Amino acid sequence: MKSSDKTPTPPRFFLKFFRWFCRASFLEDIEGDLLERFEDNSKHLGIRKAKWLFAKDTILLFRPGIIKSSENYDTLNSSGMFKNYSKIAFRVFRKEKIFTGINIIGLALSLTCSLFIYLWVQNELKYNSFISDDRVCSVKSNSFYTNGNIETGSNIPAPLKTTLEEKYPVVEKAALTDWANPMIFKKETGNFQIKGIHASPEIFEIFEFSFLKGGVQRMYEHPETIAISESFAENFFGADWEKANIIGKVIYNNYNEPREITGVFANIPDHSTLRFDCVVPFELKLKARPWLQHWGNFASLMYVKIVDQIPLDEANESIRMAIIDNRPDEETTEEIFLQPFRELHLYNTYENGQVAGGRVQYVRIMSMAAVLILIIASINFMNLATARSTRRSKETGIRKTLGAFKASIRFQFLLESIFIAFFAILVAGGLVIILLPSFNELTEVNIQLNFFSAKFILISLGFSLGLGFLSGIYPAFYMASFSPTKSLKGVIKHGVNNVVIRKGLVVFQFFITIVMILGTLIIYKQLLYIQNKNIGIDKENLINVYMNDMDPAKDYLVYRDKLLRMPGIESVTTASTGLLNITNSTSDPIWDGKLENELQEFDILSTDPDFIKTSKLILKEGRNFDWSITTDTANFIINEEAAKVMRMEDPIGQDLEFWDRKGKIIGVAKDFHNHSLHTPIKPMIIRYDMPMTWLIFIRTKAGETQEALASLESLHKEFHPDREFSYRFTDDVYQWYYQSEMVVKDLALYFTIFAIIISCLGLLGLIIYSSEQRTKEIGIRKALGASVTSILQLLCKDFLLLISISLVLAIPISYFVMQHWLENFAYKTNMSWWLFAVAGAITFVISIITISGNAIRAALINPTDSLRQYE
Amino acid sequence: MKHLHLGEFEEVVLLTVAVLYDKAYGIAIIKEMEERLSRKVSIGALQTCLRRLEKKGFLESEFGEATKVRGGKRKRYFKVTQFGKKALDHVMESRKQLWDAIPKVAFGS
Repeated sequence: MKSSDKTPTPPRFFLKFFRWFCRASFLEDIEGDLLERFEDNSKHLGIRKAKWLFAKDTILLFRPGIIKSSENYDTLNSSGMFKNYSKIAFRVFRKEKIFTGINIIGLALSLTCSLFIYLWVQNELKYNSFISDDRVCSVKSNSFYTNGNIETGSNIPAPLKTTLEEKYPVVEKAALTDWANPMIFKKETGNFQIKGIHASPEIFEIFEFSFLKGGVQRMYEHPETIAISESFAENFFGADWEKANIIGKVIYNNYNEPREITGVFANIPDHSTLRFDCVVPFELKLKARPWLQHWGNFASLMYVKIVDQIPLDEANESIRMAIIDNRPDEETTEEIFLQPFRELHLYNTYENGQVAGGRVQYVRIMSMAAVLILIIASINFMNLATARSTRRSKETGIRKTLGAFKASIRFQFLLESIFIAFFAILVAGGLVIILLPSFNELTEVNIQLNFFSAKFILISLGFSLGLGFLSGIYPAFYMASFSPTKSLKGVIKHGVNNVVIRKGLVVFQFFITIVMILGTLIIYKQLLYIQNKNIGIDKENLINVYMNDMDPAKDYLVYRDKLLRMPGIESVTTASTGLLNITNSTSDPIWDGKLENELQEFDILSTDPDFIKTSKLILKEGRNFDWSITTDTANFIINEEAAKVMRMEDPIGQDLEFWDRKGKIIGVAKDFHNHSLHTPIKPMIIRYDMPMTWLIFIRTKAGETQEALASLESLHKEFHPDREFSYRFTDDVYQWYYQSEMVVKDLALYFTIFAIIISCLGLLGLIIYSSEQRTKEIGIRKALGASVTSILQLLCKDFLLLISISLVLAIPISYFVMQHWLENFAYKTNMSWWLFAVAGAITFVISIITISGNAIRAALINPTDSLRQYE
Repeated sequence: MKHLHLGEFEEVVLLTVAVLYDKAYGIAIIKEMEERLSRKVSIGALQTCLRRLEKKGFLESEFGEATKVRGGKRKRYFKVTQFGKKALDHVMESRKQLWDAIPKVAFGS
């Protein structure tokens, strides 16, 4: 919301709305009253509350007596009919409170769901949408392995930039970057930590990030420079940085290296996959780490802008072999392709070297769920409306005899459903407002909504109008088709067709509901499986911190010895990569029996001899590394999978060579899940190579987490006084890998509950109607000696039959759908038969509870009462 | 005397207008009612009632002067007409009759 330090203004939309509907002669003084009250309220209750009350007052003013009379239009017949339809509609609503209530609640719940899904989907689609065309792309690489696997990654070798720019005319500009990292700068008052990247200055031209002050030119000439974001400037130089003339000023990082500020750029949009608050030229990184210049070092990221008017396919085709054709030293298999920046958020998984989907899958599932829930609710409306149509048949009969066209009768009934949908959207809007904070928390997004904005109001109206149409169209046609002679004689019978359609709709409704129940159950079961899965290392009580500026071979050892003497710490080790998703890999290893041209990818984990102890990894054969055997740094421990792919019967003692190190396999560890459960366990080689490590893993004593954290923090202050203390629990990281699934799990649960409630509301409506219809029949049966049970059976039998049919249809469909979802995981739970039994049981129990109350009441009515009833 | 009939809310509004005498416009009426009767009244409810009373002839109204506050909009001041007074009298009269008719024992003593 915009800041409103001036005099507060009331919500424009409502003011306009008021001016539109209010009688001209009343307008001035009532508007004055509204404004006076608003001014008063905003002084005493705050602007936000005042706006609310203003909106409320305006809506409460929308009543006959205040609304402009439509006298000018009254001469038109259609306006008179419109009045009549509205009047009749409201009379019907008042007369049939239960059915109106069921319809409004059902539609409101479904609209709430769909509005939420709409907001969520909009939020997802917003990502990277600040780039409007497909010219800005990220460069991805595909590695081809002998076993047929193709791995897609974002890392490319740094020399590719110059090559692409010089030899490939489709590429207009290319920029290298690295992953965003915390950078620290020295401020008078202390240290200042912020997210920054190293990147070629071209990044600003490719993404057209605009500069508020200064520019990027100087970055090309001079590497010891920095471009900072607006928020960086604000936080570092204070809110009035613009006056401070900071361009050309030199700031220092925590290593006391100077960085000259060349420009201040506008903050990167929130909804971007590429986010940073400062940029240091990539040149500087290359100077410090010359090995990055090597073609074989896939360690940089790259964004390019392709020439205008070139289709993406063509550009892709021309650069595909750029690495293979230009890498001078050796054979290589990496092909590259371009993925538009706009797609990066939603399409983030790759199969067989192509973009396969990813998050977009969930966007699709959710949109589908929204539509299905709307359909369930409109089915309620259709069923109740057509079932009760006999009650209105006399009315339509008379209208027709008096000359109404079919079209006008259709219009009348459509209008009624639109009225209902309109009430529903008011309820739904209220629910959205109340539930939005919880929804944000659940989906871990931050959707802010301006409920007074014309856009939101229009969208809501659109939703309700659409829903009114969807649910009203069939009843409208059905009602209009009555023959007046028959309906006035009162012999209207529901046609077989209508009954079949109604039953079909109930079946369809419960079919959707059961599919949702089953889907939710299976998602829950899979996530439970993930939670309880023994991944081969013990992820509880395991914390990781960063090595930061310590030298792993020297400072770390001091750090470790100190740490081990502190409370709460059991053991400590180092690693070159996170354990739950090993990010280092190579296809270089050579072993006896390797085929010629065989290309096999191995995960590489560099660590120290305490790794096995700290991670609680189980050693199957052989021995662990030994601190006292210096030559162990040349030796390896492999996992079972590695032994398998190298076809080694007895791996202990075999030779293995890569990265200029020749050594022996001294141990075989049991497989652990070195990637998320989405992918299979990969062959892995563990090396004793401390200089490569940059992460520290700490096993804490069970139940002493707080003590351990305190120990870590105090030691951190001693070793890294400049840096903020940060740490991660390994089991949190584990959860993080299944974040989207977790969100979907929660959403699925809530939407299923909504679907169940809505379907049951419909069922309730139908049972109320059918027991009402059969009051006399039940009376006669009872008078003739029927028992309560047999009457209950009579009333419920039909519905339970329909639900059984839905169940039979839903089981195979959900089986296939969920099978497809489970394909996302390499390790998955099985869909046991009892899941389907549980889903069936849930549906039946809930339906029986829904209908039995009413059915029992109907069955218990004393026949003398029901038979004496006069209508 | 059907045409003198007043609803409960109408009666309260009419009385409040009378209480405020020459200062009876929308917000003032609401405030007065909120204060004296601790009863929440929306602008919508009040205005419809005022217009209805005016239409029935119980009230008459005229615009005041425009001021800087309330967006420069003029206030509409309401006054109880003779007919309105009659209606109020009638209400009181009929209530009084009823009160008088209550036998003493009904409420004990």
